[in-house]
Amino acid sequence: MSDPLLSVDGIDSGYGETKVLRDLSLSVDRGDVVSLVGRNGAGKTTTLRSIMGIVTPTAGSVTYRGEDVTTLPATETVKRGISLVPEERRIFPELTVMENLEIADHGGGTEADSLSIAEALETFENLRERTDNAGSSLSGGEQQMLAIARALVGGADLVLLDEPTEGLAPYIVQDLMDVVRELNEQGITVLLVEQNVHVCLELADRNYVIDQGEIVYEGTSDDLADNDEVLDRYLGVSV
Amino acid sequence: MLGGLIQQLLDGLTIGVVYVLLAAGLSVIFGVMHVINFAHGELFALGAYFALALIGPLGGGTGFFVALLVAPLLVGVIGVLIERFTVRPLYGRNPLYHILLTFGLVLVINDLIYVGWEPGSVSMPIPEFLRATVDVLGASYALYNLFIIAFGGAMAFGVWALLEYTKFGLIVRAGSQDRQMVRNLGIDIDRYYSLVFGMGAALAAVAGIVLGGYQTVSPEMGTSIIIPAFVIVVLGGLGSFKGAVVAGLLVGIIQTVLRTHVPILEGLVIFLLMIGILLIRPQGLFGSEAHDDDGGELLTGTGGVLDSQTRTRLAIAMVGLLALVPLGVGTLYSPYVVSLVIEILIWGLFALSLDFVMGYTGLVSLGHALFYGTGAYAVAIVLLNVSQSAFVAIALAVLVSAGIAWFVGFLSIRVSGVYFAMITLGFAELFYNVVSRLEITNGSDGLFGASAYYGVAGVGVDLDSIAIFLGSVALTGQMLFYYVALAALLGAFLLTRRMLQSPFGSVLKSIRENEQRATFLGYETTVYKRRAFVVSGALAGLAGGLFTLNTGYATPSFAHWLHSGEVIVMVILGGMGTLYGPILGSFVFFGLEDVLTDFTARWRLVLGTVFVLFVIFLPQGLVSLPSQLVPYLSGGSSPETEPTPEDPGFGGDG
Repeated sequence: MSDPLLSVDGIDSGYGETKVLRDLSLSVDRGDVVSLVGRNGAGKTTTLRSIMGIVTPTAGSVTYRGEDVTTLPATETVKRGISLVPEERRIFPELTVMENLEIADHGGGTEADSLSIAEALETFENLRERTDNAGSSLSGGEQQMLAIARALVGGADLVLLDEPTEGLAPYIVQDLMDVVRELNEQGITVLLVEQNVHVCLELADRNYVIDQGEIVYEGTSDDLADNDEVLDRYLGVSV
Repeated sequence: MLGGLIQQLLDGLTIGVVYVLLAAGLSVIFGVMHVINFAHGELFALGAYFALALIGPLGGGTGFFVALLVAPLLVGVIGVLIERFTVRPLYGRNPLYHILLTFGLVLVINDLIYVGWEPGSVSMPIPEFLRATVDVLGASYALYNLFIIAFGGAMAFGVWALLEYTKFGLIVRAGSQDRQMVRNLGIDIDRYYSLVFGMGAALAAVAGIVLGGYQTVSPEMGTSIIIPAFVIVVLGGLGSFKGAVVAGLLVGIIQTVLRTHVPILEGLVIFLLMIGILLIRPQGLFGSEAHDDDGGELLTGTGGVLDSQTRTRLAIAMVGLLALVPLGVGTLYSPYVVSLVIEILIWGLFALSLDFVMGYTGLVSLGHALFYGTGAYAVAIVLLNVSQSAFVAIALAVLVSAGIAWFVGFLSIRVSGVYFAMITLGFAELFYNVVSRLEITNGSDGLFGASAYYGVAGVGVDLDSIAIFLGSVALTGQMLFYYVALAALLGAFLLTRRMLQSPFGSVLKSIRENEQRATFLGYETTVYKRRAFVVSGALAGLAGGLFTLNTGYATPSFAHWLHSGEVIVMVILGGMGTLYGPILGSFVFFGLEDVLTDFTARWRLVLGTVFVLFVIFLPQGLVSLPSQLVPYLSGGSSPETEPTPEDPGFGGDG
């Protein structure tokens, strides 16, 4: 088995005095969709922020394509091909859809050539008619699509999706899952953070369950779907 | 008639364009970096002075145009340096620290102008051909004004195009909406900060040069234009370029028209407009939804290294020592020392009053001189017109100040952070302009010659006509007043300390730490903040009242924004959120001033520098010095092992 694309080894991370993650490890293989699922406050977002370099881990390491990126700031990790699609999407509300894409377009990434804006608009057709609209005028689902498109225009090979389905209507969640699948087929690797385990089970090749800053379970979607104990104990889902 | 109106419109546009250039830079700097740059006015003045220096050897023809090109570049470089070395270390802290920092820079740059150039106004030589007049729709009009409108308009248009159509502009605009997300996209936005600051500084310089040619150039030109510039930024919407343009032109025209038709309103209308806008639509005409005050909380002085018993003893010793001061007059020093310490005590009281709201509820009032001025004028008016009783005058001063504080608080406390700072500044400037114009306050000259007796209903004593003999020392006049001031300060200290130890104080502190959580606990935080503000206003009024009681005069400058700034300096210098820190700050402020003036007339330069260094390196003030030094002195142990917990009793040094 070749080296994973992303490997997180035993990181501790947190904010000031508060430790959020303890000795957390996970890995993501090239071309996979991997999920990190857990309850509110389990440390999911902090994990993504630590990978991204918004928070610097106090112990352990983050390796991407064999390069140690533990202490790199976000501005540098992006250039290596990791892109974060944050919770709440964080579209620039007063920029137009086009400008939201243009600002990301600086030719980073290495493997999958960064999507041109035209190509991104091909994939995300509902954005196409709205290029001159302000970001704030988009619906939640459209904003989520724009946030993903923005990451791809920026040349992401690995997209970190932070709770993409949060607050979206069920039929839009379906659209979104289709988009993630489509991108994955085009060669984009995805690390998906979710509270909604059903989305994970449907999309992910492998799943990590996180609780109180530690990984408590790792397994394929089929295994996780059958593991009532984990689902019940850590995710509060009775399947 | 029509000619006159067009004349006024063009005059208004001329000033308006200058405002636009100033406000555009201010607004963009705020939008991207969340920095309220008080030094912007000084950069504006610096531009004019650099231009003067360049025109000197070159002459007013080509020299003017060379200056118009080179001076803004120089000021732009200075802006870059200011950002790089003073503003940058403060990112991530509460944006209010930038207000404090740039206020320190105002003192520094303003004094540097006095070092480099003569005081007083000079006129800027402009090219001969621009001195001509032209006919505009029947009105004869100075060509230079049209030049300002055209050139300033072109500059503003250029900036707009830069922001709208370049990658640089795109990043700046995105950065003003969500900085971290810009970083997440791989753009090192911090590198752009210096550029943005430099660009704003250069625009201010251009404004200073063109206005210098229209009016005159003087060292005060920066301090007098910065407040209207802020008003415009707030009106237009913090961070909005379009807002700065519209509001700048609007204010320029309104001011000019009012000056001709309703002169009494000229200085008032813009502040009324600002207050109104902040209350109805805090984000201004074109601003986006209120900017969050991101960044950390205000850093308050941490408890000292002494235990509370030692602190109490130290406090009593300090008070005892202070009580002895008048006794040394004549033998150890001149009476001047007593009047100096009186001023220190009064300002100590003033600083303490500000600390009560700023240090304990996190409300930074940029207009606290309003209450000081109210107290001073109330005493002067009562003594001159109503009753010569000091007690009556002071009681009324405290009541009126409390009343005004209640009114201002009632209107302002619904907005927070930067907006609150701006609205209090607006009220203070409004007061300043009102007392400068009213007859009862004797306009800009102020009131003089108020004298008082200590008693009521005609029964009492005049401090100058009695004396208390203590051995060889006769205490009289000011030496007796000294004890009045000391008692007032001590009383205010004990009162506020008692209030803070009560449940009321705990709520205030919880508001400062996290207002939302305090709300969730069921406290109506607005009510608590308003009450604290009233107490603070009353004490500030007491301070101003005492000053007038002692000196017999009150002038509009008491309410000037520089006064409000100075008292903030004292609070920070000593240590916010400690009550005794600000008193210490007052001692250090006046002590430094007194010592420095013996050596140099440029004491503000030194003081400003000290203050800037404090904001950057010791934001918790002098009182935190011992606890910061202890880890180094006790040797070996690393300095960051123990973050000093907040002292629960905040002791009692005086």
